[in-house]
Amino acid sequence: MITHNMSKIRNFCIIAHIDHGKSTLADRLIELAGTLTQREMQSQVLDNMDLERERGITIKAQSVRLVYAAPDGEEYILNLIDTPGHVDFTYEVSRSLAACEGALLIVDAAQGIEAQTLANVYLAMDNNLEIVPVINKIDLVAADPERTKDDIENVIGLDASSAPLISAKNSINIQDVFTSIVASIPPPQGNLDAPLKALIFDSLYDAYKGVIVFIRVLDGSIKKGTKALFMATGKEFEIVETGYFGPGKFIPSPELKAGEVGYITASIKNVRDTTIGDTVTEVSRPTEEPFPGYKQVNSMVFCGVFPADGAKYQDLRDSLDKLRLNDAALQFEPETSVALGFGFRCGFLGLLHLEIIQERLEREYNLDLITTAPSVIYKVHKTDGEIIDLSNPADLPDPSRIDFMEEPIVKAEILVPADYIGPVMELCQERRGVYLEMEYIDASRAILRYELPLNEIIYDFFDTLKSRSKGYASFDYELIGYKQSNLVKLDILVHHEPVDALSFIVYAKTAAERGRRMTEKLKKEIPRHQFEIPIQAAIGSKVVARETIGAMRKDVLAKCYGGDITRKKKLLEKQKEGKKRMRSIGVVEVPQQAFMNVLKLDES
Amino acid sequence: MSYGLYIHIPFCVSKCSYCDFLSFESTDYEPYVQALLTELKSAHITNKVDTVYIGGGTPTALPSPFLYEILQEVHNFNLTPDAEITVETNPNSQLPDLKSYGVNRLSIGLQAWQDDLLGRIKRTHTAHDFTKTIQTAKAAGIHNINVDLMFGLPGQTMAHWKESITQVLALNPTHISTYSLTPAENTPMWDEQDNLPDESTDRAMYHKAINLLTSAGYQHYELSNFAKPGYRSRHNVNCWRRKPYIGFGLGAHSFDGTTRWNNSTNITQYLSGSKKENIQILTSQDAAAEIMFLGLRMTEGISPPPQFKPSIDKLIDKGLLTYNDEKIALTPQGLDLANQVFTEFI
Repeated sequence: MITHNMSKIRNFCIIAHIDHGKSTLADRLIELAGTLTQREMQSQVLDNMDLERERGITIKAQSVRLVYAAPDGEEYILNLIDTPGHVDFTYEVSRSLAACEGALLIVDAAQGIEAQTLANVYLAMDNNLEIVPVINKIDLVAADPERTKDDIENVIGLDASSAPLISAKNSINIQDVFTSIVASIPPPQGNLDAPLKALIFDSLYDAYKGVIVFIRVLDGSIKKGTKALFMATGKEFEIVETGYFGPGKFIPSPELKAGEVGYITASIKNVRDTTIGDTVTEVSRPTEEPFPGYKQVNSMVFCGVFPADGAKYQDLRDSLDKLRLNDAALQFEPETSVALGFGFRCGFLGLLHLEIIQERLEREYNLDLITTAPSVIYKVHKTDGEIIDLSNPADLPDPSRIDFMEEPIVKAEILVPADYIGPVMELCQERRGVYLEMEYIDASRAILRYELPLNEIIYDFFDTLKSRSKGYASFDYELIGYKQSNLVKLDILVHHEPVDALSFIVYAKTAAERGRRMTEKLKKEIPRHQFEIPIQAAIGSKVVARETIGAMRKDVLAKCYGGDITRKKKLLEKQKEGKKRMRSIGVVEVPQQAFMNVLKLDES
Repeated sequence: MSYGLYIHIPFCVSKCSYCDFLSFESTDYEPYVQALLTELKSAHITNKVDTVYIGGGTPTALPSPFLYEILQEVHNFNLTPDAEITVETNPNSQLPDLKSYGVNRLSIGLQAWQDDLLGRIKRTHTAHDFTKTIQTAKAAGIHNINVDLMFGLPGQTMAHWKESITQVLALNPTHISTYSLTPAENTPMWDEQDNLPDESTDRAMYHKAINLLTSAGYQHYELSNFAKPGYRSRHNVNCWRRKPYIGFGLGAHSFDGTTRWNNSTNITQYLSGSKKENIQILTSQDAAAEIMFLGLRMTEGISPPPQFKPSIDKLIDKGLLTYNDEKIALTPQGLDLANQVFTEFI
């Protein structure tokens, strides 16, 4: 039994670039702290969802409480708070960081620091966290620990001289990590007697317990029966259960006290009532000030999601409802498309979030989906003074009623090897980037900073960046505001019928080029009909690109050989198979696959 | 109900480059003919037989005694007095005395009038051979003669095609078939597709054939077939109208009105007497689909089963089908895009 002694608690998280070994180190710490037997260990226990394991990234923050017996005989409670590792989830990351006093910064000894790592290090610094560098993968042939140390000192300005040199994969020097955690990360400070103040840093939905809320208690304590107030949402709940995070399971405990990390349940039905960053306090004795930094999370990227089979609309709705239980950032509302039928307009934190949701719908819920081109939120200033937040190109008012439009702008930080600075700058230039500055980290690498329109990033930016830098450039961005821009709506017309699902908002000067690519792609996807089919890209009534699908002249089997009717029927059946899953655009039958292929983000 | 008989002779002197039919360059006739005769003898068909079609391959590639034996066996069936008995032949085959064995219709595979075009598709005869054959047949008393022609051949021009038709018309056959070349996989022609006339030329040739042949008094009665009044191929018309026929010989197909099957396509298996493969009992849906995609090949059209009304209306809107009295039939565009129509009913 461990008594409540804040000096024996360490709350920390791990910052690392994808693949630098965050989950592996977490596994080792759990293993060595003795909370799990070898048999219970499933590789990377922190990454719960299959998808996370497959992609090797953490989407939803998981946490675990370790009991560490130090060589001096003392026992420490180590709360490892896992953070999502992607740019889309920066706010979630910042809240997880805010629940900690320190962070382990893992750097791959062979690869050095990357843009993603840097962004999260800055976030950790903003939260006044003690940062403990850890150099991983020292057993790799290409490992260069000394250079990596220099890297950390030059780029971040952290003393890395005493950084543990480890291999998480092969359990080398893990003990040093424990020692560093205990020695370098300060214990939490808090007032047990003050009014309850706890920070919500994550939540998940459980069918039996309702929403399970992850909290860090700053002051006071919380237990079963506490009448809790969630300050941002104003909701009140009576606490049903409190507890700690065991590895892969929840372990009830009578109380959570200042400095501790754990969970609470209160028969909460809606994950929306437990927004990340909110402060939990007591109804009868509220804290004077909520924990600072709470933000409403807003979707940045939108797209239409339609079931490939129209009959699956209800299934899609049910699946989205279920996903939303665990994902407060997912938004959706019904949408109808002439081309694609009934579906939903969905809002996401970013592109990765979009892809994850799409994949989960397809895999876990077995749905075939068609998603429209992603859009950002444009601010449309109408001539009558009204300002519309436009997330669906179909809702754009008539151009005559638009005064001007604004688009979201991000500040992008790209870490790139010197050899690829040229191509990457070119890419940023092509994407309407405004150069801010360039900073050399060392002789071989630089950080490029650009202002870029978000809508240029959601369209094929990641892949192009990777291909132009042979995979070496890494990238991070944050929204900095809106700028007026010359934007137009590009419509795609098939046989003179506009295809609503293919419309998008685009920078005026690149509209013709984008239109040309769309029409070329569509030409390859639509089978010939008995008449000629013009495919046009148009801005208003002005056609900026055109392709034509020639009329089908001949489709006939001239000879019926020797009474072999069965063979003829088989040929017809095969042909018929190709005709299935067509959508009608006016008089033209468009295969569903065409929408998917044309809307694919990559330009290959 | 009367039946048709189909008898397959899989032998050819040389295989044409487009041919994916069941035929081969072999002279091992004897065991095949024995197996075929056995099969014919053991058939228990008491119904009347009103058409007999001996096809191939090249039936006249058989030495004539074998052919006579087969024809004699045919006469053991319950033939109607006016039964149509057709034999397929090539222009360079020696014509046996078919008339004496009851044959009253000959189908000659000419394909093209130009000897260089014939050479390119690996046919071993000339236009001159053809003229001789048709004269010989007429002299022997066979006046009901079909000539097969092909268009869309490698190197073929519209001028070639018009010449082929005009020359054939000059010899005044009762029936002419014009087939658009359809390259089949696993034939040499499959690799020659880039050298074929394009789709619009192919269609222009087809339309030219319709134009020339109908002007010359032939009825365009099926997608690819033209006949003088009274000289339609009764055997083929029965097939398109889903009348029963029984096939004999390697890989031959049969239909008894409710079930379709075929003989083994493997020669060893066939010679050892095993038969009847792919037995398929047609559902009412299968039958309805067949009524459509076989019946609509006939230009006079068909009375469609009622369940197809919505599809038919759609196809009429698209200009591919038309009403012809109480029947529906393909329009001229429907003839070019027949599969677009047929797939609606599958």
